[in-house]
Amino acid sequence: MNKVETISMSPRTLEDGSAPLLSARGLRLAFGLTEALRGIDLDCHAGEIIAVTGPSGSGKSTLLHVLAGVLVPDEGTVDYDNVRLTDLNEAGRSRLRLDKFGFVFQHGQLLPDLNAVDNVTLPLLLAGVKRREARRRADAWLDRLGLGEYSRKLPGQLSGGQAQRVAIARALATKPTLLFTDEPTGSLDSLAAETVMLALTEAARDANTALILTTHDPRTAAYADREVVVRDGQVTIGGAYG
Amino acid sequence: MRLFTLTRLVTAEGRGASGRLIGMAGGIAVGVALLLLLLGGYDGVTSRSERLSWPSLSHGEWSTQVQNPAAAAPTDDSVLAATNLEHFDGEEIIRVDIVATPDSTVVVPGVGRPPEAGTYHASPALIALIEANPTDILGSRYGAPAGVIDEAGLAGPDSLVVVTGTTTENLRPSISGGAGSVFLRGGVWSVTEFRGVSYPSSNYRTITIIGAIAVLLPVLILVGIVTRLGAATRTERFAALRLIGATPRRVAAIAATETGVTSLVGALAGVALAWLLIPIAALVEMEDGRFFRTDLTVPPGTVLIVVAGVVAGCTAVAGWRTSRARIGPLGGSRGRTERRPTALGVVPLIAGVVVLLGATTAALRHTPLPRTDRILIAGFVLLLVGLIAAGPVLTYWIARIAARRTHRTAGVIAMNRIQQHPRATFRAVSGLVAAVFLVSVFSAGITTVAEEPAIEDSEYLAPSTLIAWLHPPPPDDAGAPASGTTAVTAATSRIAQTNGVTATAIGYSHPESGPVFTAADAAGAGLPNPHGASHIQVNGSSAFGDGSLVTRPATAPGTTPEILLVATDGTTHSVERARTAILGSELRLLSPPGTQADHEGTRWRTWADRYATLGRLAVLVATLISAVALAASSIAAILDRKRVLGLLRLMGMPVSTVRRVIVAEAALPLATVFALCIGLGILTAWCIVAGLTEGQRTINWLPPSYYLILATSLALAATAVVATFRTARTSTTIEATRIG
Amino acid sequence: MYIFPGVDNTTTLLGLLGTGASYGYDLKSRYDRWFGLKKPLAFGQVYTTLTRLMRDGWIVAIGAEAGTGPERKRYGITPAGRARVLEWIFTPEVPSETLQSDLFAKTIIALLLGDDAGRLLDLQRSRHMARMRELTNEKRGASLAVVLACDHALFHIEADLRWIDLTAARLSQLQAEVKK
Repeated sequence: MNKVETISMSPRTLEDGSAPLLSARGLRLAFGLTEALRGIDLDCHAGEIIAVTGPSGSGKSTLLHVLAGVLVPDEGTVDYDNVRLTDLNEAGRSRLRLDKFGFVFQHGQLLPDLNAVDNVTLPLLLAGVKRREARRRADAWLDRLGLGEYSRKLPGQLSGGQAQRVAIARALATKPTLLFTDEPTGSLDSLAAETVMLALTEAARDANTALILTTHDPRTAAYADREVVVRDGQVTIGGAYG
Repeated sequence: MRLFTLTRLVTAEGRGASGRLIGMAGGIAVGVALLLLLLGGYDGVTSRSERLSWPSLSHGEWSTQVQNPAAAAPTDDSVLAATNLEHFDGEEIIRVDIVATPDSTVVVPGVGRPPEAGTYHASPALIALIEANPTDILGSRYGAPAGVIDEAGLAGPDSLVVVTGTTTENLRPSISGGAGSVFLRGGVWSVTEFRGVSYPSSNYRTITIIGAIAVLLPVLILVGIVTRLGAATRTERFAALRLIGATPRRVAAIAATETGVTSLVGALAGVALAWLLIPIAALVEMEDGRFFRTDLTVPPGTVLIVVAGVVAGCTAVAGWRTSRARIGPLGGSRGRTERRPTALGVVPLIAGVVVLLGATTAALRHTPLPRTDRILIAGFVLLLVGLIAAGPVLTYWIARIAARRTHRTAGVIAMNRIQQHPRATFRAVSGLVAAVFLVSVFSAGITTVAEEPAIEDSEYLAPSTLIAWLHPPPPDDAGAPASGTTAVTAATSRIAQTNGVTATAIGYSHPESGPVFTAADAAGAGLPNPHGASHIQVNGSSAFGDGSLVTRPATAPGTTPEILLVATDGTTHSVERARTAILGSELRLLSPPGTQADHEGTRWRTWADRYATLGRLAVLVATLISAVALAASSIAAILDRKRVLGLLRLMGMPVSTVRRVIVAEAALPLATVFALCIGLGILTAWCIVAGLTEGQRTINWLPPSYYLILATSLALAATAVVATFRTARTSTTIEATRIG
Repeated sequence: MYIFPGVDNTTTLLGLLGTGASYGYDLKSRYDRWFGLKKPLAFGQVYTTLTRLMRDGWIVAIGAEAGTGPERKRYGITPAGRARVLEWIFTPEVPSETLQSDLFAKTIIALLLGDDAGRLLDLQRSRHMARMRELTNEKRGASLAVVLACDHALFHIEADLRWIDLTAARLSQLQAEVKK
């Protein structure tokens, strides 16, 4: 089993012995004969920004899904704030995702028929917030991400970077403690990617939201406090190469 | 061929592609099968009408009415004929009496040479009836059996028709009336050729065309929906093709080929399905009973045209849609939202209402517009199309309001979807909307038959009393009254001997209207004589039709026998035996004897009644197809958004929200036009009924069965929606988000 | 294929000697095979370097035949020389434009020595990422001129990083070739 050894330049990663927000141990998951995860340990502290990098097919998206309780590992545990995620049923995990986690994906996550502000209100409505209040908060988030003037536009009328920022607003609207983002800049050009990553990390830092992002782009990974490299279903930074 | 290989590679091989193509082919198969049955039925109605209407004798130049049969002897080229409507145990028997020369060349449909005097040919159903009953009850009415009438002379396997050979003096000039859809002009006719007509009346054709449109529309909607299945997935595949250099033309050609091949398979399956369904369809009683199977069989040429037409239509539409969608190398054109529907969409609806109301108002003022029937059809079609066209507009308006007010996630998702795609969402329920409209039209139309309220506290002739109108003696015969009276009295007393006859009464004609009876006869026949007068007179002749019985003391006895009443003990056998006795007596009758109940039966079996059968059939088919269409498009609506809904579920959105989205997207457009459909349906029914009859008929409160049908339709819709829940769950899992 | 100008040839030659004692001429050939395809090492340069290495005590001449020139000498690595090579290999370089060639040399030497080339790549990768994080942080709220300068540096480091990732992915392939 590989020990995670990461190199951090950020003062924010406090190895002061406080319990991690999310802690994964010995994660293994196979899809048929393909072993996607082959024993992974990972800790994420409150407010920490972690980049999970690795080549395509290395299992980084699968890792993200397991950490977020979307997929259940064959072996291993995921603990979130004293809750053993891997022991919860689907409904329990759904509830946890809705209440505590936020998600941003590579693309195509906005409902095409809803304008930006309505898209942002969705998780708030799901959490039981009244429509008026939800709209108010959604507008505030869009303003904060510099999208105030686009709040009544449909996703089809937004650029890729704008749509991604709407998705970030949506993910942060419920004030999650942990944000999962899967290739958030995957389909963006350098400038748009920079805008999105700045918005994402600034917003996450302001809200003290921990962020776990997957990317294959070093420049995107450079926005994180530390980097975890996954190769062939294993965390390989500091590990032995086959 | 390279195009086919390419199409197969691009469209047929991939996840879910087979399901999509099977769905498409299945939908087209159902559509084609129904279309063929519909065509067969329409064709069947026409050809059956021809076979059924020849006994009415009064069509065209091949027959002329004869005022004095005795003076018009039949020749080898012509026969004398009279058609009467007889009753037996509530059934109507069409009886054609023919006087022919021994060498007559006139051909009787289904019989051939006219039967010799004293013999008869009967339809198989009637022969069965004759054989199942004692001769004195039925068989002896016609003489000696000489043969069977074959299909060429019969409407259907259940037709009761008899062709008898007779002599001029025994020929009974019929009175006018209707037997089923055969309108009898009455009288004696000299006929050179027995011919029928396709439509006994234009009203009849009107109704048939409306019914056919009612069934055709949902079929078209279904085909329209299934050919759109999986459009989103396909757009992605086409985008990939465009990326590697396929021209838009080529992509359109591939789309057309895919749909062409699929619809060909579907159409052929539909032909097979129709063939399998014909025996079942032949069991359905429509209008004048069941059809012969051959009636419903569509000729091969027509089948070929239908198959070619459906395939060509689907192919052309698919190619056109694809080229219009402007699929670029990077996916469909951005912002795939529909054009916002404009208020112009309600114009056809309003036009339809105006046309219907205009035509009806004119008819009610007895200044009907020329071709009112055509105008009413046009109005009906305009209204139906208008409803479908106005649906998206109304849905859009309502969704806009609802989108602002909703507080639930599902509401926000569904209302905005509807707002962006009002046409697509309305299309899903348009079949059902049409069905609700049609069921309202038909149910309201049917109420017309129950319209005349019974007059309370009035007396009627006993339903078991037979009424026979006697032939007036020739006016030039001076001694006739006396001898006629004697003969009638003698014959009547013989009839009185018949088993089951309780009394007979002879009514005599009187210069004032209404036959006169002696007090004794009146007492026997149950005619009221409150003042104990020696003679009573019956007011008007409607008492012997279907009206109530009002009598008054007569001022003087009548002179010539005009009517014979035969009271029976009320059993069917007694009534029929008495009827047979009257028919077999020496009495010269104007028309076959009947009871008041027989008249009722005749009156009730009006075209409105047949309208009901056709209507129920149309509604049943329309609702079923619409439910299938709703399920198909609900699934398509979810599949088109499966990635984004899957991602939302991944974020923690419960699957119940997806279910609520489906329900809301089906319920809102339906609810929007539901009340409108019912209201306009009833209005249309009233317009058609009142317009066609110039106000003689009107419609009534809707019967409970209507609400039952409505509830069933809604239940079917609910079932269709619930059936999509499984797809909603399985297609929005994490795996779904990984594709695309 | 192997066109990296400006390799740190002193340590590289030392590293090559680490795989076994060798004559100067053989050493030059081996160097040229891996690193001198475009610009072969001059004999003079080889012998100057060897002399310097000897002076630093990292190599010794073995079995020298008296009276003959330097070309007849075999050279072998000393423990101090071996330590120097390892130190060199596993010290990540500050990201710079000339880094690539050194990193390549290090990788080859590590493979030739049977050392953990993956580890050196990982160390280098981490050093690169750390630098990228610094630069990324510098950009926050900085003037456009600074941002552009940082971007310039970032893209160059990124290029290195991508090469590192690719090389890491090809290590086993490269190892097989080195072993030949």
